[in-house]
Amino acid sequence: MSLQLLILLIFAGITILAALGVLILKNVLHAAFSLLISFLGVAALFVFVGAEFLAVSQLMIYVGGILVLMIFGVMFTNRSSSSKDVVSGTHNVFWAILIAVPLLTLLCFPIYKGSLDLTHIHFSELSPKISDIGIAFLTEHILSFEFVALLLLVVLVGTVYLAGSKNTTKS
Amino acid sequence: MSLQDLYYIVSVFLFVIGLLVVVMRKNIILILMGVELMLNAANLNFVAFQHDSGSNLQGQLFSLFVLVIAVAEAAVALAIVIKVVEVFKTSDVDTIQKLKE
Repeated sequence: MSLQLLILLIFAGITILAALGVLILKNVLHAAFSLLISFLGVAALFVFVGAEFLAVSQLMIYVGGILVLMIFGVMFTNRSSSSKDVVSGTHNVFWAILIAVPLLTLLCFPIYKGSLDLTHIHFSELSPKISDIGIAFLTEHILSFEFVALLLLVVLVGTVYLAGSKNTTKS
Repeated sequence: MSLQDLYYIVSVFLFVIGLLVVVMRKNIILILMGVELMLNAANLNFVAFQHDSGSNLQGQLFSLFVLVIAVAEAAVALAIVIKVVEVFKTSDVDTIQKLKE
């Protein structure tokens, strides 16, 4: 087992354990930080297949944007008494297990039919250049690119309007 | 097992754990975190299938679009959550259901 494969397995394990931490931890802020570790693990996994631009984008956007937004959301929606931590438990455990076990076996079934030894994993050395990504955005996928830019504008205006000041009418 | 299979297993586990977070947790913002976990699992899957087809970057491009749309969805969802918690004075999903009428 090469060192690259070992580090990949360590990062994969960290990602899945941190996702389990989001599921299990009672304190909402602890769950948010566990989600942060999961995002870092996913960014590391992106690097191993050569998607470095996506890994850095994931770090900047998910960790530096969405997660910070969610932590602010947790702190803003903490309507309980001022110095208590926000805790929340779990419910629907029966239905959750009823959904999760068949889904997990159904999705992992194609892997069981193959082989399970990890010694023949090869890493390719190619990774797409960032200039190729830029060119692809502006030639092949330009319609999606412009739509996404328009979507971001609409979301910006809509979010500022929705979460506006308390003097707006609530109905 | 190839690298894609390993990434597929990780993405399946992340997806199922994200689904469990959406079903099992009671805080609204934790449910949004579960949705983000599911989107990350899909991104991982896209990038993994890019690996074996040479220097093709379709998976990475689609993942970038998914990333931006996830940002848009998280922003609007959090704005709505802040307003809902302002009205209902709690961030517990069960309570918000019962105060509907």
